[in-house]
Amino acid sequence: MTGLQIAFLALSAVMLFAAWKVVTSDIIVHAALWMVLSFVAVAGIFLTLHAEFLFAVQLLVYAGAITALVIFAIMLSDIRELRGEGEPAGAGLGRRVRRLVSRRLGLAPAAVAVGFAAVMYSVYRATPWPGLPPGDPAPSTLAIGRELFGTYVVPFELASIVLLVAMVGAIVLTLREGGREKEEKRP
Amino acid sequence: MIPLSWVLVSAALLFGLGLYGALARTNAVRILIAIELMLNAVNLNLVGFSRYLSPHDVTGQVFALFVITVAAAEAAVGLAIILMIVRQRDVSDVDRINLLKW
Amino acid sequence: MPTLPIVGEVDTAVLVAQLIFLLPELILAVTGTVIVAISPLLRGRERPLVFVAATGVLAAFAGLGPSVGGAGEVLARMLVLDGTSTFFRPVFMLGALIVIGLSPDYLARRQVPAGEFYALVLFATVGIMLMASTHELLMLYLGLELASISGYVLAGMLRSDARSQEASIKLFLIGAMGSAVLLFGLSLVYGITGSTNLVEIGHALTGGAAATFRPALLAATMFLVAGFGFKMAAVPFHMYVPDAYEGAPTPVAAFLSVGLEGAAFAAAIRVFVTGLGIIQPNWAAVFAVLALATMTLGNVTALLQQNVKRMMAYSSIAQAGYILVGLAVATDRGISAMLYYVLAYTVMNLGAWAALIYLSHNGQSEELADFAGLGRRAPLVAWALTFCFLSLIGIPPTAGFFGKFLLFSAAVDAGLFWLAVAMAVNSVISLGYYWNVVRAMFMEEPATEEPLKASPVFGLGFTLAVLGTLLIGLGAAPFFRLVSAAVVTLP
Repeated sequence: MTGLQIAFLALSAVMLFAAWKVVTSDIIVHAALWMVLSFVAVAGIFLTLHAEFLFAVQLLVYAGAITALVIFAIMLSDIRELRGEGEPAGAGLGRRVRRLVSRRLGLAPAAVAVGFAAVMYSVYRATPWPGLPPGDPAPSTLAIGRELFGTYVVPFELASIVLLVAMVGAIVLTLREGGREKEEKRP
Repeated sequence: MIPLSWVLVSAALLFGLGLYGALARTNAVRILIAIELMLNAVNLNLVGFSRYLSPHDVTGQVFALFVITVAAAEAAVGLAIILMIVRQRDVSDVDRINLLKW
Repeated sequence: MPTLPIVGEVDTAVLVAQLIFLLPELILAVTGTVIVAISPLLRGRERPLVFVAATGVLAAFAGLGPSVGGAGEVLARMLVLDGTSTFFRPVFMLGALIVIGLSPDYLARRQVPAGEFYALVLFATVGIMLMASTHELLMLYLGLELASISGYVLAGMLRSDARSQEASIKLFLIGAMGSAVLLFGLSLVYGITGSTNLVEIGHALTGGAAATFRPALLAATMFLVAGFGFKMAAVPFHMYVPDAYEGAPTPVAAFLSVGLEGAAFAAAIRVFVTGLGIIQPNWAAVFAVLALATMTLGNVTALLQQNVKRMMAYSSIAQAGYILVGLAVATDRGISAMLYYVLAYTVMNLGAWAALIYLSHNGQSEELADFAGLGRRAPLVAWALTFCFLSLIGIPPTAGFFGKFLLFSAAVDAGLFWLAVAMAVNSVISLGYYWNVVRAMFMEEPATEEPLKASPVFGLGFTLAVLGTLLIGLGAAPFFRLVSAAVVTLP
């Protein structure tokens, strides 16, 4: 096993553990923080796959911008949301069974994920994927830049309209008309 | 070298976790986080394929780049929607938003 | 004049020269941007913006000129000019134009920010037009997201209305999940074929990849069907649709039901027929089951609704089921019937939604009771709505009848008798809920005699929709020729 393989497996394990915690943790802030770890691990995996530029973008946009957005949303939402979603009700055996499959204990999401991955693995195993092509990959940043402003210049401009729509949309939905709504609602 | 199937299985596991989170959770912010996990799984697939198809082909990476861009736009709009609701009603649970039935 | 450089494999000079083919989308995007920029300056006098938006769409129609006739793949293979794109681009623009015409009274009454509304409708139209006219998966995805994200915002535009907020969040959460599922499928297709261009994908698959990668390809197809299913409002991915359409501002529901659904069908034709044509028996069977489930569930549930807006949401689900028959048949005749039906559906469905918009901008709700006596209070609207309903049911000689007839005969032709019979049975079921509304309008006493009003702009939009339904039905022959010339053929 080479160093690269070990690095990949370690990063993949961190990514999956963090994602599992995202789905199962009780407290939403914890979920958001585990999400950051998962994003960083994905960035690391990009690095093992020689995608240096995406490594940087992943850190900046996902671990940076999107995380900031999510944390903002959690902070601005009601304080009740910071607590958990409550214990499964009931007592005795029924309760124990429910706990076992509850999303809190984390067996159910893990089972769904493993089941899904098992199906996909059986599909992938029956598929003759190509091996690694010979030769070192070219530095991807240069190639991405060329593609982005050559072949993909139209999608690039289209993405700018998507961002414009997101900006207009975010403003139009959250703009307060003279701050009236807020004052009325808050005690 | 890293076998391609490792990348694909990791991505499938991540996608499965995200899918479960998106379906089982009721809090809108949590569903959004779970969807982001699914998109990360897609990006892993794309970057993995891009590396293995040819050493010079970066189509998959460019695609992943656009997915990240759109994900950011989508997250911004989604959180604006959640904020709009929370501001007026102090809930962000989809379950508790039940004026209209599922 | 400086010479333009060559970036990568792309000659920039050629790229710039070919921008002329993108003229309609460019005009729409620029108009949208201009509206966003000037609307804060108008401060409450936003009504004239409807003319700016409509002028933009009309100019975009004119901008189609250079693209007619087709030139294959242009703009570094990002845009494809063929029969299908020549057909769908004006259809989607017509839909946008009608929606823009129907909106101003409603926007004024419900205090929806008009500038942003028009701009987002225009941006969404850019997205759905590009979805229908590209072979590139990346463009398809970006177009889809542009239309979807605009849709999420548009649905929430009655900001202080709890139902509108709910429509927005449901559309968003389910839509984003659907996009992620679709993307997973697209990533697998890219991995199997090594390309993101549908023609290349088709070549790679026929060249042997379909056999060696069969399991992965089938898995990818399932993800694609599910992903598109969300956008087409196909059962069982439809669960968000009734809530979203009922809660959203009525013009937005009208726009989503024709624009976004139509674009999903257009893109699905490209992906499945052009890209995955070689495994046609596999996906066609799935679509046949989806078509049956979608039309049946849509129609039966529509029968149970008291709220006409919600009924129309289920009705659009049922209509999506009929359109899916085209993909289930997947012959040239099936696809061309599908194209014709999308056109007919655009005008007749918008005509029906227009009556709802009319009631709600007059301060009525969309409950069945509010339709009582409409035949006396607003006879013109009542008769026009009845006509659109006849077309939605498929009574001859309306546009809807010819659409259904084409789909029906294509299904019979392909040996899918059971599906053809299901279509006929479903049309009969649909009589029930449309009749409820017609009976209320003509045979029940109105609660008040207060007259209903509409602006001339609304009248224009409504006339356009109804006249379109009439023309496409009565003068069906040229449209038949148009759609059979426009069809994408299986490899």
